Amino acid sequence: MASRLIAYLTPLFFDESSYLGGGERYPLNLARGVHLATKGEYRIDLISFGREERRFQIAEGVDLHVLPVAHTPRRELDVVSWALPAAIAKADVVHIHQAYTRCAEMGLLVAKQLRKPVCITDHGGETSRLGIEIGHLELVDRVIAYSDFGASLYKTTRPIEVIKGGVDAEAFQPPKIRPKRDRVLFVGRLLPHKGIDMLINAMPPDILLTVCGRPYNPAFYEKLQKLAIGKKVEFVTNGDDNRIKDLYARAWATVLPSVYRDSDGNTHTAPELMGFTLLESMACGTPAIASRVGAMPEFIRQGETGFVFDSFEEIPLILRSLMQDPLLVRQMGERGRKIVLEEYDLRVAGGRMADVYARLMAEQRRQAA
Amino acid sequence: MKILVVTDLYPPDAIGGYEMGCRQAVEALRERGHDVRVLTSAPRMPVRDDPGVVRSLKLVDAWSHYLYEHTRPIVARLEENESLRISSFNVHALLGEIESFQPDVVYVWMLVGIGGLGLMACLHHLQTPWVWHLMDDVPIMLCSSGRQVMPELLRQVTQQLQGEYISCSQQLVDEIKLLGVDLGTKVSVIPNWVAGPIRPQRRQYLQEGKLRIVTAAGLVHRASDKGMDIVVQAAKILHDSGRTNFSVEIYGRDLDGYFPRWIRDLELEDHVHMGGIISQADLSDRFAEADVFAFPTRKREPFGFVALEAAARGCVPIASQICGYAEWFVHGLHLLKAPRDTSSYSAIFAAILDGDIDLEPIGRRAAEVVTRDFHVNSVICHIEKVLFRAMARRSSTGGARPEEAYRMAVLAERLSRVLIQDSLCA
Repeated sequence: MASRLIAYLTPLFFDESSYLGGGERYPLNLARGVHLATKGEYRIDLISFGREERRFQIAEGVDLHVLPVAHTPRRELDVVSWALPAAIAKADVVHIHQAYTRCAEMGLLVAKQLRKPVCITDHGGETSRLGIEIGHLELVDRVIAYSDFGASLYKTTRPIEVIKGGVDAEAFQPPKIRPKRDRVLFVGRLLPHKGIDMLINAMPPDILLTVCGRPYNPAFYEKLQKLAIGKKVEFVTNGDDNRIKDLYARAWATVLPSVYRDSDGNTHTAPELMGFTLLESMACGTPAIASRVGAMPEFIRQGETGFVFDSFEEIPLILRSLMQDPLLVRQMGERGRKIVLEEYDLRVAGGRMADVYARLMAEQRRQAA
Repeated sequence: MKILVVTDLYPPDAIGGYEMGCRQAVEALRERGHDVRVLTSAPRMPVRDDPGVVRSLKLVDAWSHYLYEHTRPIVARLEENESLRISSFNVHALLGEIESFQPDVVYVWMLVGIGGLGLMACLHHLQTPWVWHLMDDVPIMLCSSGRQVMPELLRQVTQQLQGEYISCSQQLVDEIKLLGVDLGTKVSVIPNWVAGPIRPQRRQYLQEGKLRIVTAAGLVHRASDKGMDIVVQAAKILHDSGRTNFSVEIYGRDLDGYFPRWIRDLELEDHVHMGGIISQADLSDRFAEADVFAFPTRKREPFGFVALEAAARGCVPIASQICGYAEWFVHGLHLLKAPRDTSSYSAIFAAILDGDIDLEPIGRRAAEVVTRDFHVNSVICHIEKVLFRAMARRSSTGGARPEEAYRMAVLAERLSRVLIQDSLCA
C-alpha cells in the first residue's frame, strides 16, 4: 500500500493534443518507475494544468491531477494555478519538471513555503529567466539530471544527482517474430534542431529512411518534404506507440542526428539532454546512431550498441556497414537491450529516484527531530 | 525578553490609534525590563532620532489620497502588491534586524504599506516565534485586492501562519473568521488601553443644565465611517424638538469643508462646532469638561482607543451597540449603548437632558474601571504572557537559512510583479 506521495509538477498537459516530447514522457515514465520500483510504496501525483480541474489515474500508481489555470499565459510553459498549494499540500516531496519556466518558479515558491523537500529537473524548455536571474536553483534540495551532459549545464551549488534512462523496456521490446529489417528510422518531433534535414541530405538514395514524428513547424516540414524528393524517404506523422514499435522492429538502426546549429543558423546549447528514442530503439533490439551532440554519446557504446558520428559524411558508411552485416545488427541490438534493461529501464531509474526521495525525507525528518 | 516590534508606522509618524497603541505597548514593555527594538518605515516627514527605533523599512504610502488619485491602474496594482503582499527590500531589512538583534520573539503590529504578507511568510519560513497584535482585520487586508478578498491566498495564510494572535475584541476575531481566517485557539482577546498618568476624577455633569457632547475622529469626512454625520443629525433633531441647552464639539481633520457647510445649512452653528485637530493631551482635557463622548462608529470598529480615553476622564461614552468597544462594558453601568442611527442618538441625548439618565454614577464607574483594568500598566501583563508563550514555542530545530528566505522573497516579488502585469495586459 502506498505510504509516500510524490508530487510531480509539469506544465504541459498529457493528452493527445499536447506537445509531447521527452520532457513530457520522462516525468510520466519516471513516475511509473518510482511506483513500480518501490512495489507500490510510492504514489505519484502528476500535476499539470488545463481549463478545468480534473483528476484520473494515468498509470498504475500515478494520478494525473489537472489544475485550472489562473489565466492563459502567453507561453504554455508559463502556466500557474491558484489551486497549486492545495494540490501539493499532502506531498512528501515535490519534484518540479521544466526548471526554467514560470510554472517551476511558482511551484518552487509554493513548495518551499510549505516546507516540502524539492527536486527540480530541466527538460530543455526555457520560457522564463526570472528564476535564473536570482539563482532559484539554490532553493532546491536536489537537482536531478538525466545525463552527465545535462548535469554540466546547471549553474548551482546545490547537489546534483544524475539518474539516467527512464525508458519502458517492457513496452518497448523486440518483437517475438521480427519482420525483415529494411530501413533506417528517425523518431522524434520534426523540429530544426533535430537535424532531420541534414540526415535526409546525407542519406544514400537507395536506402529507405522513415521519418516518424509530429510536424510542429509547417515551414520546416515543407522543407523536409522538398529535400526528400528523389530519395527514399517516407513520413509517418501520426504514428502511435504500436506503429513506432513496428518501425523499430523493421529498422537496421534508429538515427538521432540532432545539431547544435541548425540549418537556419539557430544555435541550440542543449539539443538533446538524453535522446529518449535512442533508448526505445535499443530496448527494441535496434542499434542506435547519434551525432556527437548533447548527452547522446553517453548512452551509446561505440560499435557495441550503435554508433556516434561527428560528421554527416559518415552516415552512408555506417548505414551500409549495418545493412551488409545482419549479424552485427542483431548482436548490437541484443547488447543494447541488455544495457537498457540493466541501466536505463524506468524501473531501474525509478528505483534510483526513489532512493533520492527517501534520502530527502530522511534529511527532513532529521531536521525536524 | 528581546522583542522585535514590526510596524508600518511608528509615532510621531502615525495615522491613528493603532500606531499610538504600538508605542504605548513598546514603552510599557521597556518599563517592565524588556529589551525592545522597533522596526518601522522611513517616516513620511522628518522626525527626530529615537533610540531603539530603526526606521529602515520602505513604505508604500497607501494613505495619501492625492497620490492615489494620480496613480495609473497598473501602477496602483503593483503598489498594492508591494504594500500588502511582498517587498523584498523590507524582508531584507527584517532579516538584518533578526540577525543583529537576535530577538526571542517578533511582535507584529500593523503591516499595511510594507509588504506585510511577505514579512509574515519570512517569519514563518525562519520559524521565528511571533505575536501579531490585531486592532483591525489586517490578515484580511493583506489577502485582498481592491475590496475583493482572494480566497486561495487567505486559505493558505490561515493554514500556514502558525503563531500567536492578540485581538482587541471578540468582534474583530469573529469578523476575521467570517471573512475566511479562523484564528482558532491561537488568539487571545486583550482590550485596548489608556496610558499616562491617572488624572483626578471629577465632578459635575450637565453644568448649568447644559449637555456637552464631544466626538472625535482622525478624519472628519462624509465618506468616513466614524458616524460624525449621525451626531450632527441627532443634534438637528434635538434642536428641532426645542432643546437648545446642548453643544457638540467635533474634533478631527476636516478634509473638504463639507461638515462646516452642512452645519451652517442646518442652522446649527450656535450648537455644533468644528474643533479641528488638537493634541491628544488637549483632547483629554476636553473630555474632562464634556459630559458625553458620542461614538456612533461603524459596525466594524474593532475597538477605538478614544472612547477609553474619554471614559478615563469621566466623559460617558455613548457607543454604538455593534462596535468592539461596547463588548467590554455594560450598558448603564460604564457606558450607554445605542443602535447606530440618528434617532437613537438623539433619543439618548434627550433622555439625559430630561433627567431620565443620570450620568454621574456611569461616568464615575467607567473612569474607575478604565483607569484600573484598562490602563496599559495592567493590560501589558496580559500581552507579556502571550509574548512569553510564543517564545516558549520556539522551534528547537530552527527554520530556513536567512539567505533562503530572502531569495524566496525576491522570487515572490518578481513573480507576482510579472503575473500582475501578465494578467492586466493579457
